[in-house]
Amino acid sequence: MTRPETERVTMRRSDAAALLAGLGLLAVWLASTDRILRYLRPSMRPWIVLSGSLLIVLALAVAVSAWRDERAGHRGGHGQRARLVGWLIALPLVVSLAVDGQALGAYTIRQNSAFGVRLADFDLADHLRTHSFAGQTPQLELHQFLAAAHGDADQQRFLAETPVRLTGFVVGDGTADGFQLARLMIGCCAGDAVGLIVDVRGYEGGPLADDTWVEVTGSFVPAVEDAPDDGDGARQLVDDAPVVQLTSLRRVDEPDEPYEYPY
Amino acid sequence: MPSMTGAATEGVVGPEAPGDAGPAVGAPAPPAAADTPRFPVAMWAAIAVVVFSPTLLTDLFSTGAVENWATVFLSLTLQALPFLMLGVVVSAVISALVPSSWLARALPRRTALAVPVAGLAGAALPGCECSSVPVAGRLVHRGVAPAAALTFLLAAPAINPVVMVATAVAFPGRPEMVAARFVASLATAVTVGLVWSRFAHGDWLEQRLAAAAHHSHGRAFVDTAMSDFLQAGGFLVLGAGLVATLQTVLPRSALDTVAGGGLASMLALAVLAVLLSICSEADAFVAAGLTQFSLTARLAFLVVGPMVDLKLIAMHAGTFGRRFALRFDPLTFATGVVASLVVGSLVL
Repeated sequence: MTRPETERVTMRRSDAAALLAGLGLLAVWLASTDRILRYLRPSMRPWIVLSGSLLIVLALAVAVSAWRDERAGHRGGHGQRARLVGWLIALPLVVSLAVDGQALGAYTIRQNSAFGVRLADFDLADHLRTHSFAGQTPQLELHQFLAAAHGDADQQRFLAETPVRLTGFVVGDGTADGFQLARLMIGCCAGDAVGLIVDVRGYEGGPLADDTWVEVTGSFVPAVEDAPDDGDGARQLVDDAPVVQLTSLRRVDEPDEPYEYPY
Repeated sequence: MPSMTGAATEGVVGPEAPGDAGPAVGAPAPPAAADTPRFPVAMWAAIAVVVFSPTLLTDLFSTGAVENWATVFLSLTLQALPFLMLGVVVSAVISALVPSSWLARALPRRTALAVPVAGLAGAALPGCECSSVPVAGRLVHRGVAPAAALTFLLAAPAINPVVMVATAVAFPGRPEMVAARFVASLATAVTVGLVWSRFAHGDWLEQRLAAAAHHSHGRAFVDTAMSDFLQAGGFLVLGAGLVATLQTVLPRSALDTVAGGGLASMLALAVLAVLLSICSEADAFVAAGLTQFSLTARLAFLVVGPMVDLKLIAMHAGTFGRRFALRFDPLTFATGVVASLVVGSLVL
């Protein structure tokens, strides 16, 4: 069943070593900066460093064996060769050089709008008790705010009485007095991102471009009717994004960890 | 949402990105390797462009769709890297260090027994789907019955403990979802293995892995790891590019037209699982959010996704040949949907 080696078009060992080293270096380089957090959750970072380093070691071993073959006077056909499809692993290198990789943002929010979100359990009163905000307006992550806003009547009332700070990026919604404030939540990598969205109302400043990072201070405005819950804690948040009445807004830098990781 | 139209017109840019980048890398390779084995000119040209004008390319590719594509593509590739490395190392160990006689003794000789045992053995490899492809390829290469190796290939990413725990966290208070996922996935893997052993022709499965023939254990290890990584990695990159394109250009709002229960919504979510190719350790969180669908439909998403997706189809075709992927992946897809339907209507 195995076709003889010679029938296949193959890649030189030295090229294979260069490709492996290139991908390994890319992984280690990205993981050595916070850029990796635009692609993966923080807990993946050590595994990227480890596997990238292993790739570099493997590349060195391949290069050494290629050099030994050369010295021993072996020509093509000797030793194991790799198939041409391996050239495709140069693509991540080319892409990372060609495109200035940004964290996913407003574009993805619009694409993913049909996806609901499974919110982690969250108790606002408990959170405020156990976290010190030293006289400041408490800062909530967007998934925490959404969980409280979709919580039971007590949670909602408590949230409405508590002004909070939220950080996210702007998604323009075409209205004059507001915008959507959003974050993406990821499980493993940016490929499984789902959107977290709140509607901000009462904004009077100039137009904000999509993907502008802002910190808003404001209060939750309970909806007249509560959103239906399907019984397993997940809710459809697209049409019923909770509303925040804005009291102040300031532009901030994109955080080092652009996504939220509730799990 | 009025902004949807803006996103849709931008989306047209998306498919050009992988299409343009793909040939630019792949095209120079054949002459380079076949006749004049040189580092391809295109690579040097790309490096030169980047060195002399670092912003030229980034300006060219700075639309929302292209950036979205690049980020999804790189994150899928990077995310798979540790799992691929694990699979390649295990594969190289099997190839270089484990004697064939040991493998032959480890599994029952009768295929009807070896298949379920291989399915349960899949629970022991806590990797994503990217790990199991090189391992299964190497098992077949070392003489393990293809049906058993294929069952392992399907079961490993679907029923390992990490995936089960993630599912329990994503569906709190619904342990039956975890049980249903385990049972339906194992049933699918074993059924496909048994059907394959009974009906498959020998020439449907092509051995495309290179043999580590000679030299020391160390050299055999390095050779196997190199060729397996380049092979599985190459096809993984191809699949990741396709997935990134689909994630960039397909608006998910299309889903709402088939939401609800029934067979149509099940099939829709199973197809979605194939197209999105979300890693089996994260797919439960996405499924938990798809509340417009029934639990049975979401079960189909969780059973089919780890076994058949664009990434995997590319890797299957690369490891066992195109003829294999054309038969194996549709068979697995159909079996997964039926198993989800049966288990879902009994348990959920």
